[in-house]
Amino acid sequence: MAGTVILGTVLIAGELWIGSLPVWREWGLAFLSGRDWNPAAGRFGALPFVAGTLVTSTLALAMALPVSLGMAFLLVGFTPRPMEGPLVFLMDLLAALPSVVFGLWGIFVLVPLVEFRLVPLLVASPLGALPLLGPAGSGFSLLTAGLVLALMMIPLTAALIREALAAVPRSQWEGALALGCTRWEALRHVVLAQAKVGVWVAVGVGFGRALGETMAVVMTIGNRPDLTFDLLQGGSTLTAVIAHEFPASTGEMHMASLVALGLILLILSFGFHGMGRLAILGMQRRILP
Amino acid sequence: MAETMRTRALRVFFGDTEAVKAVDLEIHSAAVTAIIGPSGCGKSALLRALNRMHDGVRGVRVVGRIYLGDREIHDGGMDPVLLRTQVGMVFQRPNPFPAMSIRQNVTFAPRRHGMVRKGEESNLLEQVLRKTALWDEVKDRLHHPAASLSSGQQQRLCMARALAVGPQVLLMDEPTAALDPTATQRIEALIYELKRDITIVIVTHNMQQAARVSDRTAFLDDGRLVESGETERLFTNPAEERTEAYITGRFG
Repeated sequence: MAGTVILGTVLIAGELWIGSLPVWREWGLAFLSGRDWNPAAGRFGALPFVAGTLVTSTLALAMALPVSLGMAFLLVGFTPRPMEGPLVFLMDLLAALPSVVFGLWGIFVLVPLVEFRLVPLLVASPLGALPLLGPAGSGFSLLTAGLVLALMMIPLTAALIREALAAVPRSQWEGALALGCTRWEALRHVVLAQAKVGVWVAVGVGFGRALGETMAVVMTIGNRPDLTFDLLQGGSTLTAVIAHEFPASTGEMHMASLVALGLILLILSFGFHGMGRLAILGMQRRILP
Repeated sequence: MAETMRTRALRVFFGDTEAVKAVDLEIHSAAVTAIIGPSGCGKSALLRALNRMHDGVRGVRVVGRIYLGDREIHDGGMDPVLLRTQVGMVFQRPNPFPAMSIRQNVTFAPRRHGMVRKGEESNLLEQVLRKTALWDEVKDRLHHPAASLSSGQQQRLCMARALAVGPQVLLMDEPTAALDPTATQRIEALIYELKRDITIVIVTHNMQQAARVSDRTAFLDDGRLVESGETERLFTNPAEERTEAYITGRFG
């Protein structure tokens, strides 16, 4: 069983490698740092998409994590038992919503909201001075894609963090409460510290989900192959450009370049997953005797 | 002088089951009161009522009055969080905070409560670790994780942690049930030392332990307080037949 999984992964990686060979032969590793993506002119570089993927995923994680922690805290520490079940059910439901639904909602609700309400507010606020926020563009932007990703991530990360918190033994709660701690102090300083590994798992899973998410991003990011860190501009990601351009790819090099982007995505996902695993192992060593 | 405690018509319900039935218990100041009785007799339920550990636990209801000194602990003016800094608790299984160091386990609560200034933390730490006879064993590794200690040391750390917030009363729920005889002996010696400054209530199913460490004993059976009094008197000359049957090993 495990063998099948490994074999499958190796076959996929091999397939992507073979499919992208023309790219590596032509440009080698320069493809990775190439800033230019212009299929009509036959110029292909991966950097705009790698950057877009990392920027939107990081942005999404930064927004989703505090909210998820808050929700998990509320559910574990401050929700009366009869309400806990329905709330968890609702979260699971959100987590299972198809991403195209998030995408549609993004187009019809979030894009105008960002363009006409959020961006003017942000630009007027002290945050407007940040280099991350340039002149306002349309609502189809890195920021909007990040927001949609955050919303998709929250049910997942909140559920994982909740489980990690709920798995901390009762005796630890009691130990803290018996010292005159409030429920909040017990959660924040004792229970959370022991659920740390679970929180990192949630971060890893959430980030992985954001890295690989395609549909909702294609629908909201604006799909412009430009290298930009300006969150108010349109951009693209590894997944988005593959989904967007594959059906209409203009030739052998275009196709091979898209396959090469797929390979990069695979390596990125594996890399983050592996790093997460290592971090978790390290933490477990330190916590357990 | 440490505070006394007493309960009046104290009942604890788990759902529809009455685990503690109209108990009037006197807990003397700066002395050790042992609560003994067969398993399931309501000893722990009674003990946990004394610092309101039942609060917010689903299906548990506490009825009746409990006094710390002359204040009723369920009164509006009494905050359960504050109460627990005055009535501390040590549990059956050592439950140090494993993600914290030995030092943090002790200083965490006093720091949260604003009881100790940064510069005085080390004094407090040394003081309570000495009181629990841990200082010499851990003074060179205060930053080590609490989980690196033996379970006997962990239990003494839990006692130190409880003492660090300066309680009047210390409740101990079968504190040696998970420990080996040597570790048990050390805890008992500590209890003997500590009772000079602090009121101690210990729940135990070990009658020898009750006889060894306590000044007063209360015998609980099926949720009722059958008899209580001076330990020596209760063990040598019980007033109730039920008590005699239990301490001579005819049931329980």
